[in-house]
Amino acid sequence: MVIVDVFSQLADPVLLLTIFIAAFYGLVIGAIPGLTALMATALLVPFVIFMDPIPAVAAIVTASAMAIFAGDIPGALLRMPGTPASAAYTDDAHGLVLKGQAAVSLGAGVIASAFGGLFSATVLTLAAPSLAKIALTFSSVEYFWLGLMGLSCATLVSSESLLKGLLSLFLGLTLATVGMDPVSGIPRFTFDSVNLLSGFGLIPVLIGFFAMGELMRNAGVPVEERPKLPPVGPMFGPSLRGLATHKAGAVRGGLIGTVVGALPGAGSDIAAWISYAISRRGTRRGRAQSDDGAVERITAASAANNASLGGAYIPATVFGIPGDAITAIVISVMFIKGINPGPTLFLNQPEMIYTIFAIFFLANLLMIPLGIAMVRAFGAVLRLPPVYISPVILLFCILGAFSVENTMFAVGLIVAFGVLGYMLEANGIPLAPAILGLILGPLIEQNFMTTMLKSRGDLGIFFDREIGSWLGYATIVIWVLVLGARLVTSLRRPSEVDVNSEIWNNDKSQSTNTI
Amino acid sequence: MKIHDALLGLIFVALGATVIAFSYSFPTPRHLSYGPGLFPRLTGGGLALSGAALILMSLRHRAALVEWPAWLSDRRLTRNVLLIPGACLFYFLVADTLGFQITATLLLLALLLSGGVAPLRALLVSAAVIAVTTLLFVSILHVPLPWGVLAPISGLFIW
Repeated sequence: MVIVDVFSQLADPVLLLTIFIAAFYGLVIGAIPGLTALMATALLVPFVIFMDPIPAVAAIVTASAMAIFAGDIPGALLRMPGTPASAAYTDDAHGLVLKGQAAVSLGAGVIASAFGGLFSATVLTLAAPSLAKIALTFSSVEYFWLGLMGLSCATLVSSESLLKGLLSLFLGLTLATVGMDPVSGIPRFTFDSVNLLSGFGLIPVLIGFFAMGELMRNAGVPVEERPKLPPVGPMFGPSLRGLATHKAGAVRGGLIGTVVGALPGAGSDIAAWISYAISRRGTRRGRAQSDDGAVERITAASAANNASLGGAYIPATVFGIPGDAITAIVISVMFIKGINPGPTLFLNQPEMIYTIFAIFFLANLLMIPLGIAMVRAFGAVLRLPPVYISPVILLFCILGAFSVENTMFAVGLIVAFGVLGYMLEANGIPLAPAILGLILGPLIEQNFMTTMLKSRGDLGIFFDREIGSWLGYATIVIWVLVLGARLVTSLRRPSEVDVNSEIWNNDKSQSTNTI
Repeated sequence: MKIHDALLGLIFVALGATVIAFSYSFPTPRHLSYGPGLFPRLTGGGLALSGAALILMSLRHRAALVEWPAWLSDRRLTRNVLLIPGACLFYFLVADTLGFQITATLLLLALLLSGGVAPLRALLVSAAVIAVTTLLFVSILHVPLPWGVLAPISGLFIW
C-alpha cells in the first residue's frame, strides 16, 4: 500500500530532523533582507548531495517554502521585502505594523502562506498529471499574452499617481532590455562592459531599491523621531480569525498561485503580484483602504506566493520540466539522487513521489509554529538600538548581492540602484512597478521574438492558437477594464482634473505598450 | 531631493529619447523582421510619452523647482545618509584588495562610530559580526567572498 509506505518513510527521525533544520535555515535566510528563497535553495545543494534522496528533496522543499514566507517578515517590520515575492504587499504589511497591528499583518502572512502551501499541495497530490498536461500546451504566444496581462498589475497596484506608476513600469522595462538581446545575442546598452552582458540581476536591483533606499531614508531621520516598532503581541489567535474572515481571498490566492506556479517560467513573484492586483481592484473587500482591506490583500498575495511553490512541482514531477528556478535545482538534485522525474515516476516509485508530496504538507504545517517563533525572534532583534541594526543590515545587503551574482559588480549595482531608488521614492514614483517590469520585460520580449521567428514575422499568429487567442482577448479586455475603472473613478470625482488628464495620457502610452 | 514634476518629466523624456536614439545603433540581423532595437524603442517611447504627460499635467502646479531634503541642514544626518551608499562604494572599490574581513570591519566601524557608539564597543561589535558572517557565509555556505591580503590564511576557514 502506497499510503502505509509513505507514512513509514515519514516516520524516519533523520528525515524529521532534516526537515526541522532546513525549516530553520530557510526562515533565517528568507528573513534577512537581500537573501532570497532561490539563494537558500542554491546554497543547500552542496549539503543535500550527501544525503539520501528523500531527505535531500525534503530539505529543499522545506527550506524554499519557509524562505518565501520569511521574506514577509523584514517586509512588514522594516519595509524591506526579503524576497521579490513579498515586494507586492510590503507597503500594506508595513503600514499595518506601524498602526500597531503587527500581529494581524504578520499573522495574515504566516497563516495565508501555510494555507496557500497546503492548498497547492492538495492540488499537487490530487491532480498533478492532468494539470501538467494543460500547462504544457502553452507556447510562446500564450506566455507573451500572460506577460502583457501581468503588466496590467502595475497600473492596478500603484495607488497614487497612475502616471508615475507607468513611468516606473517603463523604467523597469527599459532596464530589462540592458544586456544581450534574447534572440540575436547582440549586446544592448552594455557600453562594452562584460558585467552588463547578462543584464541587471533582479536581486541587486531589489536590494538597492528597497533595502538601500530604506536605509538611507532612515539615516536621514534623527533616531528619536523614527517610528517605534510596536510590540507584536499574540499571533496565533488573530491569524486564525483573520483566515476565517478572509477565506475567500486565501482560496483565490491559492488557486492563482497554483496555476501561475504550474506554468514553466512564471514563479512566486508573478503569482503574488497577480493575486495582489486582483484583490486590490477586483474585490470589494480588497479595494477598501482600511486595515481590513490591507489584510485581505496580504492574505491573497501571501497565499499565492506560497501556493506557486507547490504549483511549480506539478510540471516538475510529472514531466521533469521546472516551473521556476527553485524547482530547476530540485530536479537536478532528483536526477543526481536517482529519482527521475517524469510520468514513469508515478508508476514505478509512487511511494517516493507521494512521500515528497506529503513532505509538502508537513513543511507547510510546520510553518505556522516556526514562522510565529521566527517573527518573535526577528522582532526582538529589531528592538536593539537602531545604531547597531542599520550597519548590520547594510552588510547583509552587500553579502546578499554578492552571493547571488558572485561578482563585485553586483555590490556596485546596489549603490547605484540604492541612490536611484531613493530619488524615485522622494519624487513619488513607486518602485514596485519597476521591479515588475524587470521581471516581466525579458519574458515578454523573448516570447514575442520567438513567436515572430516561428511565424516569419506574421503578427496574426497571436490570435491563431486556441488558448492563445483566448488569452489575447482576455488581456485586451483586462486592459480596457483597467482603464475604464480609472475613468469611472475620475468621473466620480470631477474636481480632480488631474486624474482625468492622466487617464487620457495613459491610454496613449498603453497603446504603445501593447503594439 | 524632490524636484518639480515638470523637471522630472523632462528627465524622463530625455531618457526615453536617448534610449530610442541609441536603439537605432543596434544592427538588425538579416532575415529578422523585428530586431534587437524594437523593445528599447517601445519602452523608450513609453518613458518619453509618460514623461511628456507628466510635464503637461504639472505645469499648473506651483512648487519649488528643487526641494532639498530636511536632513541636508543637519551635518550629522547628512553624514549618516551619505555614509550608507558611501560605505557600500568603499566596499565595492577595495574589497578585492583588502578582502572581505578587513573591508567589512572598516565599514561597520565607520557606520557604528558615525552612529555615536563608543570606539572600543564599536570595534568589538564589528569583529563579532564579521566572525559570525565569515563562519556562516564562508565556512558553512561556501560563498566565494574575496580574501585579498588575507588569502594565505583563507584555507583555515573554508571547511
